[in-house]
Amino acid sequence: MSARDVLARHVAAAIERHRGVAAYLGLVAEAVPPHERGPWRRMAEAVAAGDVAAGVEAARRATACWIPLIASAPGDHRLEARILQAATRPPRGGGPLAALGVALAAVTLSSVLTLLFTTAVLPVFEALFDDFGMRLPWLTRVTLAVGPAARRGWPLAVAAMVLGGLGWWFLVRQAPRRASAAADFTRALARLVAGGVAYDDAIVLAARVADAPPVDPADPARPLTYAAVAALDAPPAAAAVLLDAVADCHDDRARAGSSIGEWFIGPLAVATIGVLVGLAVIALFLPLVQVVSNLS
Amino acid sequence: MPEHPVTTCEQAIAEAVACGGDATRLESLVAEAAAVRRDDRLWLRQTLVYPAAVGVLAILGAAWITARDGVLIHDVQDAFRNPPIPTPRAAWEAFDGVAVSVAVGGLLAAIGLTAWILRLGRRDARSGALAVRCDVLADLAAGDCPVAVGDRLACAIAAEAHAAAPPPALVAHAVARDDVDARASLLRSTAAFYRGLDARRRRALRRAVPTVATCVVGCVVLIYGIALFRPLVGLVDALAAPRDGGAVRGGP
Repeated sequence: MSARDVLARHVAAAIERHRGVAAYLGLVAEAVPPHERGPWRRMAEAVAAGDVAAGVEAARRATACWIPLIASAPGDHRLEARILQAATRPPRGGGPLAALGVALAAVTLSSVLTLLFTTAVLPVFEALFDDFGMRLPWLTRVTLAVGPAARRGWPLAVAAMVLGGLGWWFLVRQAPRRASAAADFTRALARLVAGGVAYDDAIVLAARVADAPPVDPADPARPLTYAAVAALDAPPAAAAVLLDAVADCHDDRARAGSSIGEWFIGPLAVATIGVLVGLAVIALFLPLVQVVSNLS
Repeated sequence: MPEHPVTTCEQAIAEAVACGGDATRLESLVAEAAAVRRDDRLWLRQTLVYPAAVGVLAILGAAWITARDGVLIHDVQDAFRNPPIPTPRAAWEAFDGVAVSVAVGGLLAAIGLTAWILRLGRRDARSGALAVRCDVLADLAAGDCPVAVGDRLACAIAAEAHAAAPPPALVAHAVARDDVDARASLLRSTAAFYRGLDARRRRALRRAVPTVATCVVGCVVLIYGIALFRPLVGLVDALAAPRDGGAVRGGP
């Protein structure tokens, strides 16, 4: 049975079991931040209408929201608390396209600024210096050489920037998400196992939550860790507790990784841009100061 | 021993305790909320000190240069008074427009940043106050306090102006539960939900504000740079111009 079939079967059962919770899902959708409302609204509408096809489509796009419904029995008084718990967890990274979006935005912005600098600013200074026919400092010569080089080799520069953006996206996607994907996967697995979902199905659904390809417990690969596989040897109640503990460990690692990244990247970017802008300003204004002081 | 007037919050806590609330827990909730607000204010002040200082210096510098009409290079200009230098500045006229555009852009960015911080700050404060309100309601529900009285006391203890507004539908849904245990449990979960939202927004703000503030201050410093160098550039351009035509047509 394919992963989509497993998801469809569980979503259909969840909609049938929890039709009464649609109104509460609507309230949760109103309470979460505006950019996170979509999945909750789609879920509330599908559950209210009993529309399995819409539910499967909504679950395919945001499986994490559906885990409380799939993992709760009819009339379970903890269902609403579980829904709130799922809504509290931030969607990490916003999926693969969000990281790519940030990388593309950075590449576009830097391309526009470089284009502006080389086509609007440098030619004016170049013409000014040519008028005087003076010998320019090496820093100025290097800076002025950027313009023609950029105009001649812009396809290469664009390719380098795109490659840099893709490399950044790869790092963002792989480095911090490895721990966070394992945390999301293991946490969802714990909820599903605690809710009595069969282990095989639970692994398939948890893989969808972490946006990971299907994993085989016989040959564990991230986000399914050896610790999680070992926890699955225990009975469901104990396995859920162990899996929660494993998820906590991965959560801690993800938090540490992201805080190091935040601490490092911001200051590095500010310092690099500051040095480049400072050098450009010195390079362009040094000859002017020389001219004026010589003339006066 | 000096006496201090009893605050609305303290009075509400006393009433809540009479209704079956736990005094220690209620006081710790209020103290925690106040500590979070203090920590936020301190962080914001520390974060904005450097950008604000640079921004103020840049604005003062730009204003001084503008008001004194490029006084820094007047001595240099004086050296060329006789014969007077021609001032065909057509090539650099565009700088005026650029300077104005950058100034307006920087100002708009600064206003936008301030509005955004205020908006997020208000939302954080509302989520934090709602979390305290739900926790107090849960505490009072466990002590069998009537719902209406509990809501009034929770508003007073949360001590936020916007917490006095009607509760959001999510809180109203939890309060409407008939079973006392289920009501208290759901209210605690709702409080954790709002506290989680509060923490997430605070993290997002702490990530974004230094970067945005640095960008805005960068724009302001750019204005300062343009204001400082514009007269110098104009002078050099004027000196360069006679070589093209003025000197041939009858210049010195």
